[in-house]
Amino acid sequence: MICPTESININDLPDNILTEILSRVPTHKCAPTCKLVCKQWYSLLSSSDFAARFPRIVLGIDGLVTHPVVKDEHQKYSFVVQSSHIYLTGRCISFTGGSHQELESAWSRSISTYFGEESGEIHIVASDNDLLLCGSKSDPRAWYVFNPFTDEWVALPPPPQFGRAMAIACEPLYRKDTHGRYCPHNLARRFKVLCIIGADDRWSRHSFRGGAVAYYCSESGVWSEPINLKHEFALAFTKIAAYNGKFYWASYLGGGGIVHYYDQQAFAVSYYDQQEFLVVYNPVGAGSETSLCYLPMVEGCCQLDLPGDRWHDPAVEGYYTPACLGVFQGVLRLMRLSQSIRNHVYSFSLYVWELQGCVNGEEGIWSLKYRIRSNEMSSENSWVQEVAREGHPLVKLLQFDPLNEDIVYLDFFGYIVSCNLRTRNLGALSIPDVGFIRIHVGAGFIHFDVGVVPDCSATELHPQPLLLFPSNNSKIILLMYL
Amino acid sequence: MSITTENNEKMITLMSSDGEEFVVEEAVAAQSQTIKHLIEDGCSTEGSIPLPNVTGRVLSEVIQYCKKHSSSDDKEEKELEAWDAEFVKAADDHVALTDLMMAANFLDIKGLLDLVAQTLANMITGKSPEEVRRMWNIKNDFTPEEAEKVRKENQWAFE
Repeated sequence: MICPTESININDLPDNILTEILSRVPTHKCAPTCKLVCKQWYSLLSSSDFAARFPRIVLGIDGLVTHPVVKDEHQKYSFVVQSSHIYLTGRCISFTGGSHQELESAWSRSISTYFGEESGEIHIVASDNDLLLCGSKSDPRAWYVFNPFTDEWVALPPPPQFGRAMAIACEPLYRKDTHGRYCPHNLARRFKVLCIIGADDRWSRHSFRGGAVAYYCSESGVWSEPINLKHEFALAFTKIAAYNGKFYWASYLGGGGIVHYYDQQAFAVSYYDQQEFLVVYNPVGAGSETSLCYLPMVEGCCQLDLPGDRWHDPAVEGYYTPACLGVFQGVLRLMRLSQSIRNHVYSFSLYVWELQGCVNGEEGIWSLKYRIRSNEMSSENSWVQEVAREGHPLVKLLQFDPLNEDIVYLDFFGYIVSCNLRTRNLGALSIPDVGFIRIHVGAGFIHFDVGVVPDCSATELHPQPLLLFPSNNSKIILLMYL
Repeated sequence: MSITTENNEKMITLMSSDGEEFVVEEAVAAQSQTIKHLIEDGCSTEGSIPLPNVTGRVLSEVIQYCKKHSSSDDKEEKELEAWDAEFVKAADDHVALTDLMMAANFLDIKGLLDLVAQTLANMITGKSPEEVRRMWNIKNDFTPEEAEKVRKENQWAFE
């Protein structure tokens, strides 16, 4: 006897099976679509059960971060705060979906509520996988790690010496296993903080020479003994990337640098004739020099696209800006601008490389993914188009987008401009009802704000993907300005 | 009703909801955690194992999958992947896949569940809400105002 096929409608499936299906739909791109299908899907996708299936969704996970209690003069800060919403206000704006007003209520409450007036001004220095490393403007030895998703704070003991550059590494909470399934990996949010100790540079007060590194580990709760770097590398405007639990940054040796001025304001340092290295620091092997490794920089990456023999042709000048390192979905990326001036005509090129085949951070080949000239960029915004067409030397690199591999952010006179590497299209970022996102130009650079306050502009962008799929706020850009 | 083949493989009989019988090696059937537990609990001694939630058409597909995946432990993973891709393609449409998904869930076959769920997810990807509704005959129960509200919630700050 043949039975007629009694087919099942997808909505007859039990919720757990529907969840199995919907959790496999690519996250952020399809959330709005799927939520609009029907009420059942909407409530499913908005539920906390569904949220719990996602690797970055960490709300409601039991067990708070247990940080060691710091026994020193900073003890008054060493506590973990739990509350529904606190955020940095004034120094950090977060952009999410929805109107600005909603943002205000959801995301901003003064940190001084928790730290009192003593906290001074707190700023974000670095971020990695949900955690933010924050420093205090008034106290160079005060550092905090903040988790905006759980509203937990912890104060670090003071670094062994004054840190000129700091970074944080926190492995993802969940990681894909060999079958592509997400498994708990770092639910306790262990983290490491890197501190590069250095002195002012002899040729530019806009950079410094890194002499040693030390790191803090959340498990031990103490700073390591500083390890000396092989050379006193110059470091300036360098972004330190945390990748696979290691720290990467670009350093320069020899040669010279140029401080760029605009309206009598220094805004950037660029380099020429320097040997450039990618320094890799592995905190696991800490305590010995083997934990440091020096990779030659991308071949040809140091002096790119420089027209002619610039040292002999007075009409041509070319330079490159420091490398911007970032991690996108497990791949270390590097971008930089090379700028040139020929007969008073400016132009720049944007380069993006990816480190491929990297296993231990010691092997791997840099492969050039994109190269875009300023005159190839287009924009619907006529002002943005004009700046790009001019190849204006004030254009700076900000960051990679954490969710979209095609997008990087640039700084056009303080306006955040997204650049689609594939379409070469530029777009000025805006918030509905508020307008374009403007950042202050001309404030102090974040790592230099104690002792020497240079007059270069400082823009720090800390993009963090936030609560991917089921969240209403698909994306957050943490923006730091001084 | 346990039959033993010349290879000394223990065979068991599975009966679908519409009365079709399938004789398969126990090792093949045991990829289903549900069947494995039924065998362990001695539910197969009286003859065939009844599977009231699975039709013969779906069960034959499930058995195909289990056979392939039990016999190919040592085979190249790539080949198996290619076979899986063909398998879901042969299942033809989303309705058949939904049936298969249901069966995989009832029989508790992790690999098949993953495979079918991913295939269905791929079908949803890139479709408009209306297209998704049409695919599965889902009724749009949002009022226009409610839909607008959901849309607003998910509005991105920028693209």
